[in-house]
Amino acid sequence: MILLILLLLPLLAGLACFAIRSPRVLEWVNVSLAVFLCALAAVLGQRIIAHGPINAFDDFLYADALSALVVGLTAFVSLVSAIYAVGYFRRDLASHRITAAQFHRYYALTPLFIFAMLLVALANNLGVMWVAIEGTTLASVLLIAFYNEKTSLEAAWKYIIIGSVGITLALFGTILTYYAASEALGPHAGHGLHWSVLIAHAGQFKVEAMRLAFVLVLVGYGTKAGLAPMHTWKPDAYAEAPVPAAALLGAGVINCALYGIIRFHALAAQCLGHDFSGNLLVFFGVASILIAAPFVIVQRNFRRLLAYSSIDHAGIMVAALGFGGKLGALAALLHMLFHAVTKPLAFFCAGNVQQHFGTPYLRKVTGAIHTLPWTAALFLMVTFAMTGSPPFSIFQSEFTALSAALAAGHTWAAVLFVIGVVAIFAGFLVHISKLTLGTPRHDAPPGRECPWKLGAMLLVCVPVLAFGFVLPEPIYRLIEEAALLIGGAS
Amino acid sequence: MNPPDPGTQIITLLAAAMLVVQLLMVAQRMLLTNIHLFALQSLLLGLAAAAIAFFQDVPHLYFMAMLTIAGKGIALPWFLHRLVRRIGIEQEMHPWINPPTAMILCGAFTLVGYLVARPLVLGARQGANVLSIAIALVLIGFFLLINRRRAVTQVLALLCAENGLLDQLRG
Repeated sequence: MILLILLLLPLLAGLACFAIRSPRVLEWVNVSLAVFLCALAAVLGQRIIAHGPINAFDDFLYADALSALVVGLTAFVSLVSAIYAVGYFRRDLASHRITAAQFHRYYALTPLFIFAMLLVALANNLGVMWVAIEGTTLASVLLIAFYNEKTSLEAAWKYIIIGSVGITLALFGTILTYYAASEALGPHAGHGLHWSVLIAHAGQFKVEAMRLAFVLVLVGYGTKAGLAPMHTWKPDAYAEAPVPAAALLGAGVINCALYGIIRFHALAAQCLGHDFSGNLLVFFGVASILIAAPFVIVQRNFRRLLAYSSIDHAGIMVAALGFGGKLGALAALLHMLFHAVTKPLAFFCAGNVQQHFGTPYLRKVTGAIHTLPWTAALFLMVTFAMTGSPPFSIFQSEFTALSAALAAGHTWAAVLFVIGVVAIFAGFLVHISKLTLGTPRHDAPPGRECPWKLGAMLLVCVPVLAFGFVLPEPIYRLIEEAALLIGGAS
Repeated sequence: MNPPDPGTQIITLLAAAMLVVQLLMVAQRMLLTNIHLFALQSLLLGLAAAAIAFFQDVPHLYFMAMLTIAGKGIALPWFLHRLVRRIGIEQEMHPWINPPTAMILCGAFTLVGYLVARPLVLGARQGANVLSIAIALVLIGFFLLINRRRAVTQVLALLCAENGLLDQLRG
């Protein structure tokens, strides 16, 4: 029942928003929707910890600890983006950057976008999950093209074409998985794409077909997660989308794509042993970290900087998953949590700076702390948090990932991992310290922090600051159980 | 070894025809001809689905065949045709790689399709060729996508890759 409500709420809200005209009501519907989703996600998490996986509609919907984690993160990111969006779009509207129709379009599409993300995590059928991931692409492409400028249309085009190619391969892989499973399933073949059925029989799949299927799925969903070398859509898309939508993409959709990879990795690990899929994941993960590093160092645009950071973090999660064992799975999921609660703050700070100075270029913005003290201070803080410096939480998950790498004997991967992460840390620090603390430009417009935007930012600060020191017991239990689902299987 | 039954032969023949049409699309440069070839390919795909429905007795595939022919064989090409006429786009396509080289590459893609599919279908006589052709169609579709410069032609290439994918569904 709770699964159904979780899905129906954003769907109905989205459809209702198409009919609503009043801007205030639109804002109100979106924010309260996100509040409800957060509450429901918390209830879902608690039930799963207490009673194990939940299913509904003849196993059509299915939620275990991993689903609950992704649902919770999606709800959290939706909430903070919805609050931030209020301040952000009011300002855009006031400065005539967008029209009332565009304003309306954002608020009507976002609930549908959230619906697609939740469906990814709650669908049991891998085919439906595929449809939902494609749904996130379709809902978000209009958000990327939002400003109707030449660059944003180009970014949206790139996103949909590269995304479609990826998703085509993922469908290919999904069908092959069914083919690999069809004989082993016997009487269950009618539910042959249900993950809960597949995982129980994964040991007897056809090895050759499953191998090809995993490669195709990894490339397909890897495109959506932004793993190198399929990452090229990301810098454009993240830089052109309005900031709240970019936060949803960068901290929400990335989890959904990784969720797909994790599900198939669990199947492949049971069928082929951990090494085949694990080594592929390590390769793509480390490659993503290393490719992101030089682009971070020479970057001139701070919105694109965040996109490369997101490629780096997708790489870290995938590599941690590939290192394997319970430790690797734990590291990947902790990183998913810490990244998703940290990243929105970085997007929001960058959005504030861009709206205030009217440019995303680093050379045109220096000494932002003199005009926007709160934003700049938080930006500096989140830079440390995001690049994995202690005492912030991402340090812990990266450290766990490294221990997993060394425990599994991936010494070279661990060395390259450290080199990449350190280079990204250095690059970020150089850029953002100049942006926040450099000599202020004398032509900088006087600043005023908007209460909505600042409120959203302070809300994100709570977990960013808290998780470094203490991880609440229920959240940790959830992550541990999810890690057992993946790592325990191998 | 018995010769394959007529049903399998017809299905394989249709798949092969799709591959030939795909290669024709690589070889020629005119945009409108390309759209017509795409329509022809979708028609073949629909017929193949109908053939499977008939010979292997899976009636719900008739539905898929109808959808394919109506949607991808008629409606989409008609829409693209109108679009191309209306925006008055240049007819010649200017691919990055010239057609003869492209043809050789596509030959290589077909080989890859056979190599990849071989371990999967060892023992299963039925559908062996179809799976190889499906993989080749997807690969050539992606190649078309990379090889073209304009938005409309890229969409067309993507649709072709998708045709290949649907072909794989039947394998």
